[in-house]
Amino acid sequence: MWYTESMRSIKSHSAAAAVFLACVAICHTVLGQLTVLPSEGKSLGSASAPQPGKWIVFATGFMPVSPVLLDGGKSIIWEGVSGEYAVIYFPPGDGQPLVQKVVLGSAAPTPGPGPGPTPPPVPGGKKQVLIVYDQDRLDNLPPDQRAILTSLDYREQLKASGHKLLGIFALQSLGTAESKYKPFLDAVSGQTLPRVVFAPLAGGTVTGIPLPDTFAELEKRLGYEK
Amino acid sequence: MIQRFDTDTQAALLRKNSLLTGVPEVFPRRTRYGEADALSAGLQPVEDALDVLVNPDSYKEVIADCHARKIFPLYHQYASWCPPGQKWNQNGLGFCWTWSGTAALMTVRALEGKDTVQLAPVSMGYLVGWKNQGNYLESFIQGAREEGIAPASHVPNPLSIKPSQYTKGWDVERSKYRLDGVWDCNDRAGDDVMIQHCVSILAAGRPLYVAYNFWGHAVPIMALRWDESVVNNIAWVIRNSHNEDDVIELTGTKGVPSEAFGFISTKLAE
Repeated sequence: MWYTESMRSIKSHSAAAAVFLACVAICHTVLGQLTVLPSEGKSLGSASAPQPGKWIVFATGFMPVSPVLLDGGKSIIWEGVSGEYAVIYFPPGDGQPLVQKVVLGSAAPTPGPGPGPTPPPVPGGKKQVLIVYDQDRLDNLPPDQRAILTSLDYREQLKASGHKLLGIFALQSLGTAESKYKPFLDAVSGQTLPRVVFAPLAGGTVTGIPLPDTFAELEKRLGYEK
Repeated sequence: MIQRFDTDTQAALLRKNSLLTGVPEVFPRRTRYGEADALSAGLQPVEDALDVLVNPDSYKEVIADCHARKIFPLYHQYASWCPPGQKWNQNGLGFCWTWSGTAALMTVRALEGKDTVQLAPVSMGYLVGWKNQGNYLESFIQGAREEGIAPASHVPNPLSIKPSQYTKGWDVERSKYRLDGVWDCNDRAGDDVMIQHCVSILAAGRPLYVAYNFWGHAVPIMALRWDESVVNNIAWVIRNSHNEDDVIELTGTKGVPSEAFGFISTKLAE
């Protein structure tokens, strides 16, 4: 794909304006019910161009998103979780494709799908990281794993890599009160501990995996390799 | 330079500063390790909490590793609320029992990766009726768990035991800084057992909240140093509250704490 320095042909709208567009253009009745966007926990994005064209939208990790065409193809809207999206517009004829980055929602991450039995390594990039362990089984952990929970040296290395450590918490100390780390803690709920949960630093899908056996493995899974 | 005191030959020197407060600062524990009264106070025996304690034959290697990888709570203390050069001073109040407990709690917060918030030890003065007097370590633990410790931002004068001088809302803010998990060390089975319990807790990255009966004083233990020229081959690294600008070290037979509690976690309030 080609990038152009002039992004003025593509306009990115705020989520609020996108919500209004969605309500005007998409709300319809189906079998007596009203369908509205965005869905719970998601945000709306939109883009428009002077002429109808072809549109492609990617979420983080080059995950394709299916936008809805509006105004004969001059505009699109799509819904997704908070995070970065790449919007690519192919004008009619032989015009150069245009690419624009769009950030939906706030920096706070929202829960993503479950990690699955063996999630693949997360693409590189800086992460916000949270670890939860079982205090009653602390000594059952191998020394290298325990060291991940306690070593200041390891934390300094994470920070030097650009990652942000949100906290390392004992399951028993979490309590029941609503926490600002809810999306992360939700990803731990019901899972085997210790567990590390992370999301892109700018916000995005929250991923949870078993705590790796060593700090080197943890770094690799966070997308940083020396 | 870190000062080191031999408890067998310099006990009088250590007691000198404590005598300046004019009051007995710490009373021997009321509960008994592993028995109903301690258990009901939430003091979990470390032998129940940890299936495997550190083997005495491994002390040297474990201590070396805890320094090499900065696992000892000392490093978290340095990186947060009390870097080298910063003083920690009860300044004549008979409140070592809260200065030491507060130091240990702030260090646990650092271990947990929580934001550094300076807390006010004097805000625990309600436990002794807002009087300048000593207390039991278990009393501080209970108060720190149930009520929490007020942030220093709400206690303009860090030495004031008059709550009327605190900023409104201090007694609400303190609930954000509450102690949670505590492990109890056996003070009834001899020095070797106490040492093993203390080493095991420190090797888990947790600070110790301890009292020394010979000294009438409470301190937090933040690390150990292996030194084969001293009794037990161990120097106890403590963040004392007598206006030192760094930790001090204790050696000798009396360096083994009379009672010790590991502060394990704080309640999540964020």
